[in-house]
Order: sequence, then C-alpha cells, then structure tokens
Amino acid sequence: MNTKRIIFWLAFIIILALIVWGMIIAVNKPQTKPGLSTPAPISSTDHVRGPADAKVTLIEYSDFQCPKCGMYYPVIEKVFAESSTTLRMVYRHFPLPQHQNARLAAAASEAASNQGKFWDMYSLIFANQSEWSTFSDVKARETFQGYATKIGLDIAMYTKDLDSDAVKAQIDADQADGEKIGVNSTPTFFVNGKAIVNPQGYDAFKKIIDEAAR
Amino acid sequence: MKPLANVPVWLVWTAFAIALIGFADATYLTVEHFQGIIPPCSITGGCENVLTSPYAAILGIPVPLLGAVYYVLMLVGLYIYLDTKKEVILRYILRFSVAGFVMTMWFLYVQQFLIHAYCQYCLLSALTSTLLFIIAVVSFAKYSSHESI
Repeated sequence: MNTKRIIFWLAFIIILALIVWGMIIAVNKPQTKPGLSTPAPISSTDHVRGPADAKVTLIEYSDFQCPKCGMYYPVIEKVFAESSTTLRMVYRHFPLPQHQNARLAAAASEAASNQGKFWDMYSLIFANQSEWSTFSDVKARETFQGYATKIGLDIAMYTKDLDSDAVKAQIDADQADGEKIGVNSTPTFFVNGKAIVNPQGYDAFKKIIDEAAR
Repeated sequence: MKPLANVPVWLVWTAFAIALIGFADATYLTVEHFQGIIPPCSITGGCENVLTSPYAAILGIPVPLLGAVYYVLMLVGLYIYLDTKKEVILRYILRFSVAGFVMTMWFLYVQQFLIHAYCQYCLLSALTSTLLFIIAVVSFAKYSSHESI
C-alpha cells in the first residue's frame, strides 16, 4: 500500500471518529438555561405539598404522558422525601397535544384533587405511565377510574368532575400560565421562581435543592 | 451500454457526504439511547413518542444503531469504490441503498399510522436514505444497462 492510500484511509477513519466524538459531546453538552420568566405565585387552586414555610419552592410544569416527566417522577419523589423540611412542591399542568391521554390524565388528577387526593392520583398515574399511554380514550378512562377506586374516591363525584368545565378550566389556566412565561417543553422546573436546566439524575437534583435551601 | 464505472466521481462523493450526514444523525440518537437519555417533550415535538415506542427497536436492537451500521456500511463501500474504482463495489453499494429506502418507508409508515408522531432526527435520516436511493436509481438508469442491474 502506498503512502497516498494510507493517508486516504486514515482520513476516512479520522472523519468517522470525529463524527462519533462530536456526537458524544453534543449529547452530553450542558443545555443552555431556558430564558423563562417567573411563574405565577402559588394560589389556592395550586397542588402543593410540603411545608408552607419551606425555604425552597419547586414548581413543575408537567405532562402526565410525557416519557421524560415519567422518568423524573421517581427522582422527584426521592428528592421530596429526602428534603421534607426544606422543600415545598407545586405541580402545574402542561399537557402536550401529541399525547392523546395527557389531558384526560390531568382531568383525572383534578377530579381526585376535588376530593383532596391529588397527590395519590398523581403517583398512580405516573407510576403506571407506560401502561395507559397507548390506551384508547375509553380504556384510559376505565384505567383512571380504577385508580380512583383504589384511592377511595367517591366514584359518582369523580366521574361528574372528570368532564366538568371547572376541571377543564383549571387545566387550561395552568397551561396558559405556562405559555405566558415561555414554557415550551416538559418537564420544566422552577426553583424559587427561577427556571433550572433539567438535572441529570437524583444527585444533581438534590444538589440544586440543597443549594437553594442554604 | 454504458458501464456503471462512468458514474461521475462527484456524484459518488455527493453520496458519501449524504451518508456522512445520515451517520452523524444516527450516531447522535445511538449515543442518546445508550446513555439512557430521553428527549424532553416539546410543543413542537413528538420525538419522545417515537423514540420510546415499541417500534424503536427491532429484535432488541435499537433502530438508531441499525441506522448507524447501515450508514457506516454505505460509507465504507463508497470509500472502497473511490479508492479502487472497481465497478462491482459500486454496483453492490448502490443496490444496498434499496434496503435503506425500504426501511425508511416502513419507519415513515410507523410514524404516520402507528405512533401518530414524527421525530425530526428520524425525518432527517429518511431524507438522507431517500437521497442515496435516488442517486442509486439515477446511476443505474443513466450509466448502466438494464441487464446489469
């Protein structure tokens, strides 16, 4: 093999290696901090858990059917459990149009909220996300009603609330608030009113909360 | 009858450049896959639905990896041809683009009718594999006799 051919093939290998390397860098590069405004202050219609005088308030704009939100669910639960005295958490709806059952899931959580069980429904919906995500509307309704029974809701009231204008208005209001401050993907987290770059995993998330608590 | 070896070198280089884009795209998704990264759900999106769907793997092999392997084979084949100028190599590699095109059609069908969502990375790959297929068709039609296909 003459030198020219060796260089020719070396160039090939280098080009491929550079592409692979570049893509690994691109995947791992820290995202830029989203330029979002401050979310609306917490109101009586919000779903809040944790102490009212907590040093840290975490607001999550989320979609129950978003796989990434589902991925964050166990992370958030652990962060919340491990920061019980310092962290107050707020969940706001941002159901995306490409997720067929996201609005229904949000409505189910609102109907549960009317009976004081928002967070129980929230947990069941997220924990079983992969199960109901592909369901038809009818089947998803049955599934969510099953969750409602499981957490001990008054089913007659639940079914009435599920399709009520008030529930719809609540979801729309959350979403409109999100859009107003520039939310365009889920999950979007705000720590003490400031948007954060989605942390990779529990440790990174816990660190942000702990730093904000100082 | 025109031999396939008359395919202009610039056209082969063009195919090579297109395959490089396809390779970069497929590699990006493959790296994401193996790092367990799911893209966030965007208002303009649908990518998360496609990449987390049951169709995102074939026989347990992630589709982005299949794509990356496909583009590497295309690149190696085209490069061997550019090195050796052996017509038979070009013949095989251009035929191979049909496989990529068939897979592209399947994935477009899956996105449109089964997942009801499109992923922009997948659409970019659909574009590059379709362009490679078009180059192959043009090459055979213009520079090769029908019997030799």
